This record gives sequence, C-alpha cells and structure tokens, in this order.
Amino acid sequence: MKPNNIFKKFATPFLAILALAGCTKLDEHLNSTLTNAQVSSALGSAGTGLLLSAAYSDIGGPLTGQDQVFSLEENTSDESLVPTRGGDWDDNGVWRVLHAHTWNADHGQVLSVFNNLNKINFDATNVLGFGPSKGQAAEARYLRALSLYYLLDLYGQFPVRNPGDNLLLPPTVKTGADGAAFIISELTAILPDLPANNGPHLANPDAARVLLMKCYLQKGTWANRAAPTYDAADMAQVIALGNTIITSGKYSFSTNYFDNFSPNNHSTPEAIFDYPNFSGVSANNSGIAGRWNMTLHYNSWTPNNPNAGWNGFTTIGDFYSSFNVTANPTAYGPTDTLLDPRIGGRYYAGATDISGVRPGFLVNQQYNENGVAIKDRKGNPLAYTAAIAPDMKETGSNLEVTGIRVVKYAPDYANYGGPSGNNLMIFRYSDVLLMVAEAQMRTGATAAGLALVNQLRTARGAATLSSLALVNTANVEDPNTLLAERGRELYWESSRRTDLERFGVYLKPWQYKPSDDPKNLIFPIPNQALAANPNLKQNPGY
Amino acid sequence: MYTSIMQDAKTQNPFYSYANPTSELQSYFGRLNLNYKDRYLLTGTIRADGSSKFGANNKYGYFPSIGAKWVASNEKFMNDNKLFSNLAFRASYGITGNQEYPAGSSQEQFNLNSYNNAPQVVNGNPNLKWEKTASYDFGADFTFAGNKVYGSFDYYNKSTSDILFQTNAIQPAPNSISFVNLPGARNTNTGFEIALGATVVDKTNVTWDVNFNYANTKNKITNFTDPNTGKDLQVQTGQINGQGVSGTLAQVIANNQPVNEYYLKPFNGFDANGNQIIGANPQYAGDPNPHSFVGFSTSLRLKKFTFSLNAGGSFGYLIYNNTATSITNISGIAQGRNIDLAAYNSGEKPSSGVGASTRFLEKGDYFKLRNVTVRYNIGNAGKYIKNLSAFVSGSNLFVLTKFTGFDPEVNIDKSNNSYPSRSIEYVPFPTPRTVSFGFNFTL
Repeated sequence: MKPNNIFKKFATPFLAILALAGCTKLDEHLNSTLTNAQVSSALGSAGTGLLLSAAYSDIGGPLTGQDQVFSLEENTSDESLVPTRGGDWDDNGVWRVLHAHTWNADHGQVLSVFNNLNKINFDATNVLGFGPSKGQAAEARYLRALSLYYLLDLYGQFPVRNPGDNLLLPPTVKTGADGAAFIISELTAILPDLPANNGPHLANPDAARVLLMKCYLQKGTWANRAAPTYDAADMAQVIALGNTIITSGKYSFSTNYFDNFSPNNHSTPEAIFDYPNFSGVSANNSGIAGRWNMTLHYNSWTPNNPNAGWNGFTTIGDFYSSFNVTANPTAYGPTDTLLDPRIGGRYYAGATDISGVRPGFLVNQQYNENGVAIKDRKGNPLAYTAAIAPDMKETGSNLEVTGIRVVKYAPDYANYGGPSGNNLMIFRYSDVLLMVAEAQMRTGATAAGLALVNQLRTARGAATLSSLALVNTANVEDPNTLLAERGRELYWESSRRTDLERFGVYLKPWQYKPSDDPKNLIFPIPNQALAANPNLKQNPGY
Repeated sequence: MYTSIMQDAKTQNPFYSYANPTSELQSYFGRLNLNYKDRYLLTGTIRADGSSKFGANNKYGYFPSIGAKWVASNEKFMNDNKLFSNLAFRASYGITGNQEYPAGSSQEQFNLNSYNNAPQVVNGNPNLKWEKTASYDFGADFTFAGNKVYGSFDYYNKSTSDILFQTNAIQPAPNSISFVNLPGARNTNTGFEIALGATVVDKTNVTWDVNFNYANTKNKITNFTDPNTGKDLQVQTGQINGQGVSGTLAQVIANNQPVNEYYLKPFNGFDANGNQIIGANPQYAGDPNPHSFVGFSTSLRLKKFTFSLNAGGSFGYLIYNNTATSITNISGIAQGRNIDLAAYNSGEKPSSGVGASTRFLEKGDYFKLRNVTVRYNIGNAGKYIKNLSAFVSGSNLFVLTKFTGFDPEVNIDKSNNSYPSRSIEYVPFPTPRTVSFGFNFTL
C-alpha cells in the first residue's frame, strides 16, 4: 500500500486546532497584601515602623511560651522538669527527654525555638532594607542581636542575612567565637544610636548594655563549653557596662520581689527590657498565663474556675534546698522573717485573697482564699511533695501532687482565661548586680562581689552572707555560692542552663538526671534546618 | 489599598478584611484525531496552560498526550467470531499539569496584621512552575456473549514530578515552610482496575444486571530530598489529639515510603504494674492508604418491582484509633468517663500513662452494604400524577470490619502545618444507618 492510499482510506480524517487569542497577561494581583516593591514605594518612616513593630511582637512567642526558650533553658536544668502524671503530660516524652538530657535533632521544641528566634532575626533584618531612621535601624539591630544571642547560646551557631537577600539562597552561618564577635560588634555599634528615652518595652541603651554584659560573660563559654574561660578584659567590660547602669540611678529594687511579676508589674523599677502585655487586650499578647497555668493544679481556683491550671511543671527538691531551707514557709499566715522572701509562700494581695495562691514555691498543703484546704481531683489533699518518680513517670495515687510548684508570675485574676496583663521580664536590674559581682569575683575582687550580692539580698529582705564561692563543683545546689544566688534571684527566668554551663557544672548529675554526655552542652541543629541550609553544620555528637 | 492600610495602621484592632490574590488561567489547545476504518484510532493533544500563580518565566506549562486504540473486533479476521461483539486494546501516554496551591506563593507578600505591625508573611519564590504528572495506561475493553457480558481492564502508572511542596524555608525566613518544586522527587502511583458487568436476564418482565469492579493501587515517594542540600526530607504530620499527647505526630512523608506512612513508637505490652511500655524511638509502622477497593452493585426488576443493591469496601491499610488513645483510655476511669472495653480487659491499670504508639493501629479493612432500595412502580395515577412510584431504601445497613472505632471510612482532618493526614480516627460523627420510605412522581 502506497502512502497516498493510506490517507485516502481514512474513514474520517479529522484535524482541528483550536486556539484562543491571548486575553490576559496572567499578572497576579495580591489584593490584600503588599509586594516588596509596593512596600518600598508606599511606606514612609511610619511604614518602616510597622515592620519594626512586627519584629518587636516576634519576641513575645519564643520568650514567653512554656515550650519555647523557657523550656530549653529551665527543663534542661536543675530548676524545672515536667513529670508525666498518669495519662497527663506524656506528650510523646518531649518533656522527660529535656530533663534527662536525652533529646535528639528531631525534638519539636528544638525546632520550634530555632524557627521562632529566626523569625525575629528575619523581621529585624528586613527593617534595614526599607529606609529606617538611625534610631529604627539601631532598634532593629538590637532585636536581631537579641535573637542571635539566644541562637548562639542554644545552638552554637546562627544564620544571618543581609537585607534584601534572596530567600531561596542559603545565608552564611556564624559559629562560636565568630558569632560572639559579630553580636558584640553589632551591639557596640548601635549603642550610641539607641533612643535614650526608650522605656523597657523598647530597645534602649541599657538593654543593649545588659546584652553586651551577657555576651562578654559568656564569650569564654561559647568558645569552649567543656572548660569555660573568663578573660580578664571581658570581665572588665562586664563591670564597666554594669556600673554605667548602676550609677545611672534609673533603677532600684521593688518593695516586694513578686511585684516584678504581678499583673501590676508595669511600673516595676527593676525592668530594663521586657515584653508588654495588657490585661484584657489580645493584640500582641504573648500569652503569659501559661507561666502559671503550666504549674498550678486543676483545682487551684475552684469553684470559680475548675480548670485553673494544667498541673505540669515542678522544680526539684534539691533546688528548693538551695534556699538553705530549714523550715517551710508558714502555711497561711503572717510573714515570717526566717526565710529568704524570694522563696515566696507568703500572702500576696491580688492573688492569695482571690484564689489562695501564694506566689513563689508552692509546698505542702494548698489552701483556697478562705483558708480551706484544697483537694486534688482524686479527693486527696492537694499537698505538693518534693519527691518525683525516678523515671519522671508518676503512676501512684499521688500522681497529681508530686513536685514543688513554682508560681513566679502571680495570676491575672482580672482576666483569668483571657489575655493576661503581666509584662514578661526579659532583663532585670538585679541581674546587672549579679553579673557585675560575678565578673568581680572571677577577677579576684571577691569582697566587692560579695558586697554587691549582699546589697541585693538586703533589698530582698534576706540575711547577708559572710562569704561566698562562685560554685561548688561537688554540689551544684550548695547554697553558699554565687550560682545558687543567681538561682534564688532568677529562678524560672529562662537563663539557668546558660548559667550552669558558664559555671562549668551543666554536665553534673542532679535529681532525675543521673548521667550526661558532653554533646548536650549544645542543642542539635534541627534536622529540618540542616536539610535546608548546607552552611549549617550539625553539632558534634548528634 | 495603600491608603486603607496606612490609615488603619496605628489602630490596635483595625477593621480587617482579606481578599485572596487574583488567580487566572489561560489555555491554548490543539487536538488531532485519526481513525482508520474504525480499527486503528490515534488521538494526539497538546495544550499550553498558563496560570497567574507561577513566576514570570514559568507561567506556561506544555502538556502533550497521545493515545492509540486497536479495535480488534472490527478486523476482518474477527468477523466470523461469535464470542466478542467488541474487543479493543488501548495505550496512552500523557502529561498533565497541576497548579492547585495557594495563589500568591510566588511573590513576597507583606501583610498588615491586626497588631499594628506589617511583617513579611510569604517567602516568595519566582521560580515556581507547574507540577507535572506523566501517566501511561494500557487497557482493554470487551463485550461478549451477545452483549451480555462487558468489562474493561486497565493498568496505569502515574508519576508526579516538579512536586509543588511546602518544604523547610531557609532560616531566617518569614515562614518556617514555603513552596518549592521538589526537583528530583517522584510521587508514583501504580495499579490496575478491573470492571466486569453482566446482564444476566433481559426479558420483558424480568431484568437483572450485575456489576463488579476491583482496583489495586500502590503509592511511593522517591528522591524526596531537600532542593538545597540533597538531604532526605522527613515531614511529620498526623496530629494525635488529647490530654497527655500534645504535639504528638503519627505520620511521616519520607523518602521511599508511601505518603503518610505511620511513624510511631512501638508498643511493648504492659509491665508488672499494669503500665503500658512504649519504646523510645519511632519507627515506620504501616501504610494508611488502602491498597485495594472492591465495588459491587446489582439491580433486579420483576414486573413493577425493582430491587437494587450497592456494596463496596477498601482493604490493605491501617487506621490509627486516636479515640482509643485519648478518650476511652484506661485513665479516663479516674475522671468518671466511659472507657474502652479492650483497655479494661487488657490488664492495664488506671495509672498507666497515655501515649501514642503502634498499640492503636488497627486494620481498616471493611466491606459495607451501602444501599438497598426496593421500588414499586405504580405508573400514572389520575389525571395529574405521572410516573408514581413508592420505595423503601436503607443506607449503611451493615459493615463487615474488625476496626473497633465507629467507622473504618475515616475522614478526619489531622493535618499538621498544612501537611495532610490520612486514616486517623478521632471522635467522628458515626455514619447513621437510615431507612427511608417515599413516593416519587411527576406532575
């Protein structure tokens, strides 16, 4: 058959090509959001301010949440843990592995903190690409330095972009001493440009000084976490920066230690940098209520609120003992003078009169606002005990009451269950004194350091000390050490892990963490982050 | 729009409305059909589809397809056969495009939050392009025994590439995940389908039809790696809900595994105190995607009565029973809740911890009698009512399954971070068994 015939023999040859004329260029219009170019051309300095506010509000989440920086700093330390209570708080074991130091690079909190800190990093960097004023640029760089400080401390490295970078390309990564040098140079550069009249809700020169002090203090630890060093020149920087803050006269001690954390803490004279929350206002609220819900029992405010708490977080008995406790605070009565008031357990107006809760450490029988003993959900007395099951899995009839509870932030009963108004304290004045004291003691000026510590203790209403060591490596909870003093002042304020590393005792055993591994000095880079950026290198041992 | 944003910018909770980005599609299409004596048929198509969702250089995708069919029963040598009235063999190959993902993902976007701030909310990726699925299919259609038995067979292989996927953004970034086309990854589905039907009786007063179909499918993801580093991706999803299991994820999208493979800690029985023992590390634990599907329907008409029945089932997959993990677990006794009899009989004590594990994986295999209807056709009644018929119909009459939850056909959304989940059961609305009576007529 010839080719011609084939075509003739087609029964129904059919050929059709249909083409539509081009009617649209397929341009995509965003409608409710702005493109990068639109932002550049439309936003003036007020608009750049909106970008800056975004970076400010990014701080709230990672620094407030009980499963964020708080968890990585506190649950990994001798100050806090979350035991599994029967059917409650297993959560796939995420809490227990933190206290036991057996986490891995798939830990959800390790990932979430990495991403949330980098969100601050991104939004702050972005401000710099949209024509900020000098002051705005300094504030943005401060917020970025803050996020990089936490990233470096937790993960040993951080990625950093230039404004306008292509987000599809991996940014460079700074590690260890390099990273520290970058943060210090940033903070030093912006110090003169930060608006001096910015209050504690905004980046201000003293907030930069505190962060610089922390970097100088921690530098030798970041360089060698297994054997930290404390360079004399760095310590001198800590002392000089601290003295600038102390001699400025801008800060003083609050009358009651717990006023720093109450719903009325907006006017505390100790706040150097904080995150503002407003009672009943949901906008930008960081969810501070988690800080008391996480530890209070379900029945802590019955019958007004039958789900007053989540009955989770506790401290360990040995840490409680570092207050040199010879007697527990009296149950429900007048102030006693035998104990360091920072241990709490006293009547506190606005809390005890409403629910019976006495801020500080909650030990033994708990009472309601009328002085009536509270029961747990099984009908047992709600009496918190120090001992926790060795494997952190409570299975006995006492599973709801084990562990001493810690309420640092007095609940905002005006808006219980709604947006709470306690400001989150990020840097407080007392930390400045303790850091200066530490730098002095590390450079031989022990007497000067002790004097500062006693100044703080006197302000708190605690007895002065006649001598003080930096740390007792044979007993992490030795009450007569500066490490213990930092614990007594700054407990559950998200810096314990950092402190334990700097004092060289992070790998020591403590209750419910019988052994350790040097790799745990740095958290792993989350697997997801590692897969995305080839410049990140997994930390040794993971 | 700028003005509306700028005016509202300083208020605490501005009046807020959101309109999605515009989304437009535009296509050019061509088709060629060749038919030689109704024996050899060839169809070729080519289409160019443009979508506004993609980056400037990638708006258009080009999708050809070609199909051939040989109708053997029309060949001369088949003219004498009494068996087949129709016998045809088919083969086709084609590429289709997919652009079903959120509009605006290719552009950097800044959004005014109701919080007096305006962060960048979308990472943006101008390189985004069409996701492509190349599929080939071999099949046969046949009718024999005097048009009384008919059926078809198909084997197919579909392979999706340039998968539009939200992978880890490179931090620091405005979002933790953002859309890319995964360069090397393939999502492959292979399987076969058989359909058989027969008209058993075809008389004036009696007709009886029977239909049966069976499908088998297999899914796997390969080369599932990050475009930046080539490292294997592992995306966890499938949220387990309830007290004590916050943040627990049961499934994973991982290289060389079926999509949503279970990834759970192993259950190792109970200790001496009746507390459950759960292993420390999660492991691949089974496939939540059914591997085979069966359908059966029949219709029998006796004079004015019509009886029809519809049944079907799915086989070869696992369901995670989140209800048993969290709601009916043993520790519920302490709170005065009803608990699962299986948990009660297991010897587990109320102090036993709650945890997600392979313990709560169950076979999902089921066969359901979906519908039975009996209809009596009365015909016209009076002057106005036409085609009157009365019926009794029952739905969901019985289920054959060993699954202990309400319904093995699970349709609960347990996605995490917008990654979908599959076959995780959690306090669903039970499928009702309904019986209805009624009349149909036209006026």
